[in-house]
Amino acid sequence: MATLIRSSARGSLPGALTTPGLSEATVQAMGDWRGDPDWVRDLRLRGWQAWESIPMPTMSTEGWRRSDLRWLALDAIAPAAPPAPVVEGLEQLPTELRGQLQTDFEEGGLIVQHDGTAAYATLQEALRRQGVIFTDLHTALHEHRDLLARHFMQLLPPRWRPGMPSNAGKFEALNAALFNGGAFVYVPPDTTVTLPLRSVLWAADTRAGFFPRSLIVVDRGARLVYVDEYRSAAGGRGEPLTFGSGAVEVYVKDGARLDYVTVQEWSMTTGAFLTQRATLGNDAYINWVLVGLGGQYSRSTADILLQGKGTKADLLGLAFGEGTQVFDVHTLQAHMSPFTDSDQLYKTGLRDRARVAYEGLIDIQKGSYGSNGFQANKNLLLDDTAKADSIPMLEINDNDVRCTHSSSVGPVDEESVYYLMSRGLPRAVAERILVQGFFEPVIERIGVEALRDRIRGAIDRKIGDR
Amino acid sequence: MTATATTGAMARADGQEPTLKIEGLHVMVTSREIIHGIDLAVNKGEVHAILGPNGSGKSTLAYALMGRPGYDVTAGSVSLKGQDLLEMEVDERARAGLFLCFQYPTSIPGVHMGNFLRLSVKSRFGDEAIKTFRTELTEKLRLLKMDRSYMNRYLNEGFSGGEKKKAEILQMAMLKPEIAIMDETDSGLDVDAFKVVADGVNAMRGPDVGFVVITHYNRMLEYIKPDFVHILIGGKIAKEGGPELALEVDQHGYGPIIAEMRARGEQVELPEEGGATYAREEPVERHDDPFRAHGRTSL
Repeated sequence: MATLIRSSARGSLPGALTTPGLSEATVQAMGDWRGDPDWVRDLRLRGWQAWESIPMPTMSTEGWRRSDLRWLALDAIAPAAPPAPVVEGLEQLPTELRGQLQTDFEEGGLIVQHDGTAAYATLQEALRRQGVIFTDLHTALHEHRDLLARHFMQLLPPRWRPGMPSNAGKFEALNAALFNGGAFVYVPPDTTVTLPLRSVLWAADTRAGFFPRSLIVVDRGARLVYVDEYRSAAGGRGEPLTFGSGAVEVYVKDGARLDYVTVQEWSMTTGAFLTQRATLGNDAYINWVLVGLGGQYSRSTADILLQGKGTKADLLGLAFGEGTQVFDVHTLQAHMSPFTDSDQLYKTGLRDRARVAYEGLIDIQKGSYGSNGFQANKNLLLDDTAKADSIPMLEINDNDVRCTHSSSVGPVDEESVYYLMSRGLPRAVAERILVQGFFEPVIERIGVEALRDRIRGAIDRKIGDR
Repeated sequence: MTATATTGAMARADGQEPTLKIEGLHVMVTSREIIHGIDLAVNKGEVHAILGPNGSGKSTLAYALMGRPGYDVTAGSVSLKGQDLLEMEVDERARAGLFLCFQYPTSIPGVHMGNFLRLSVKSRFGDEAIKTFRTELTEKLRLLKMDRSYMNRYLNEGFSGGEKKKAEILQMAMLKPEIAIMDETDSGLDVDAFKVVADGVNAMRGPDVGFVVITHYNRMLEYIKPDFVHILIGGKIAKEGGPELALEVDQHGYGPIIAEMRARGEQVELPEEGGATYAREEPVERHDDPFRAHGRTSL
């Protein structure tokens, strides 16, 4: 497979984008540098207005009560990093990125972005002939204008109106204003993409803001397996955290199916927000696995809008925290039509002084009779100093629905440890396989086998020698 | 402490230490003494049956030997192959060759039976044993009429009563203990499963392993013929003998033995009489996933 992309960098980066500090001028400069069409520039400006108008959430803001953002140093952030070179082969990528890039799984297509610049991209010829599009977002804004106009920033629009609560869209608006990099995928109607398409978004410049924005469209009756990876370079001690705010809009149209895996492996010196929102058409299905391993602070917002009739969503998640990592997890299962099913299981393992705050809402809207919504959040604490807050929520506005939600927080089950030890396994081994086993029901739902093994390995390393 | 005419460790003819030697064992569970001084000696190649009514302390004995937390040995000693068993951690006991076939095996979701077995065998016999693991596993599965697909299932999760017991026997067969304790392995089995389990145990019998078969039901002993029978009542060994003792109990119940004990002037504590139940003697079977305390068990 040959590399496909032309460099989307348009000349060297203007000074306004490399100087710390964010302003409307930097938003304009970003639009100029990226050569945005007017309608996109307009979206950027609306994003900036919303960012400026929405108050910064504090720990007394609903939905942010456990989100300590004191690490955020906006003044120190440059809007963008200088563009990276396009490479012909993965071996030419920077060493630190190459070390993180899993190569033992077969993709139908791969995009690797380096600080918002598409550094490497492939797509199988057979898929291209079928009309599958897989490219970087900026190329797509020029070459697939109709598709983009119908979907881009429609699900996560930058907006603000007076009186809007400050929990709504602050960091998403910043992404709308400064988005730089990200992928665009389109699978035409009734087309099946069996090998996964994979996007690896890499933030190398630890002082620049990272604002990727991706768009995934799986058209009627089509099928796609998509792996969405987020990574960043390790920063220096005592420096402000590398800051990122990403956004992903996902469309699964009538009768389509998406197997979606989000892998968050930010470096431990990164503080980042990622908001993903998926909408499902009639009889559509999404099997979505969220994997959270990295980041000093990471806020993950995953919304599923069950807009079509008879649509179904499985949302699974896992996170493993060590040190002083904080995972701030927010999920939404919005039932908007009759006979919609959603099922969610989010599992967290924490050691040391790591924390997770989980908030999940099942929102059964008027007109979604005959629907089922389930939600479970399980937290395994390996040390007394780790902490999990779990807030499952239900809002039911129609009849003839079935909903359950549950949560649990606790240490490894001693009964199970005893049973395993009685077969000769030392305590440390018994505890390790129980922790691995705790995540297994989530890992098994990842649609790519090689990726499952890598996640198992990553968790195993994080459990460490205890 | 209970040196009566009918109790006492049976010495080996050759004067060597028995493989498992229990002397004057007292066990407390939640600050109540359940076992009031037991002596028992088991050699490799022997099958010992421990019979007794509900609440007599049979399972407590099994748990105490396997080091279950909450089962505190307050007096006495236990040695396995001459080593002090009570000083060992639970996993050390297993690696030294002790095995407990649980009455209520724990379900562990997320842990595959196959991986677990492999790790257990590796813990007990070292990395070398892994070379023959597959062949042996195939053979044992055939013996127990178990499908290989068990290996891809989560440990005991969703297993029927019979499947759980078979899985216990499979683990026993793979770990080749020198002393195997079977705690009410016959309970909750239908006739077919019972037969498979008994055949599995009989196939393992031989000079390399000693069995302690705990039951309150003679059916087990019709299939697994014991060499020695010990009657446990009120936390004490009330009577010992050969296989004929099991038949005696089957025909006349425990009444005559209790009467004999009382005639000897022994205090006999029976749960019915004291009105107390023996705490944790028969734990409630856990159906729940330890990590999913509420809600659904599968997606």
